[in-house]
Amino acid sequence: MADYRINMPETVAPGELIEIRTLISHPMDNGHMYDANGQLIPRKIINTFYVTYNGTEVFRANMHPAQAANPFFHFFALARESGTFEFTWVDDDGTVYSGTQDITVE
Amino acid sequence: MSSLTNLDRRGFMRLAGGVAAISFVRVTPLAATEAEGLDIPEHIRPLLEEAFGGWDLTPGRISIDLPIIAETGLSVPITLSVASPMTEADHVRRIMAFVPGNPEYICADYLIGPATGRAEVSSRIRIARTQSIIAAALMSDGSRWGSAFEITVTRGACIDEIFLPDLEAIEERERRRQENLLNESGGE
Repeated sequence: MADYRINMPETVAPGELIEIRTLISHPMDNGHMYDANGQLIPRKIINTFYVTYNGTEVFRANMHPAQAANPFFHFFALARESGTFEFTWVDDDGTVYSGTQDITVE
Repeated sequence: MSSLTNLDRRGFMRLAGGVAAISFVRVTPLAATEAEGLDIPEHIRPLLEEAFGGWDLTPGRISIDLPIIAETGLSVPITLSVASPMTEADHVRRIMAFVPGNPEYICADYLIGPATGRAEVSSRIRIARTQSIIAAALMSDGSRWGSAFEITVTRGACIDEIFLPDLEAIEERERRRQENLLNESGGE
């Protein structure tokens, strides 16, 4: 489960904005829906998503049931030095999905 | 022959693109329109109070990009952007958006800072029904800004009746199945 996609440039100039798009597959069950048998589907969403750039947090999203399924985010980060972006998604059940992406700043 | 049938694919896409472009709007409220701050529903105030340390918002600076009409509320693209230089001295700390007509009211909560470079985040949200969406931004100097946007939702998400099981249809199906079984066994 939980396939993710990270889309960002591999090389940027210093001081430039890095455009980042992320997508993770997750049903984001909001706890208000019923299945075909009339049973309430319990809440199970990814509640937190955060991104660090060489250890510094650049973006954090606290997610709520109003987040659509397969959470998608499009945001920016300021290019400082070459390094690694770490992307972390935290599920309600405690599961952590994470991925990294290297970037060259020159 | 009508002109529509003469359209080639490229022409059609241009037309479709034009229609799509019209249905998206950007709302940037003028600070002068509401002197007494933004109208915040009663049940949203404690959430703002907790996150921002106060619920009153000055109209302006934050803009919401949303379609005017959402055919389905299950996944509505939203872009929240704040006019800010995003420097150490002057930046946006937190962006939030509220859907007062949903069973749970927070639809966006982003923590950003100078390392983010630009105060603009896009995502997709669920909207239960036609309502006014409120966006709010907390600046590094502690000031709070907000704007509201009315969206029309044709088919809602979350608790709308279309997602509740259609018990009558299930019963009807079961009854027909039983009838078929009876007919089959009767025929033998």
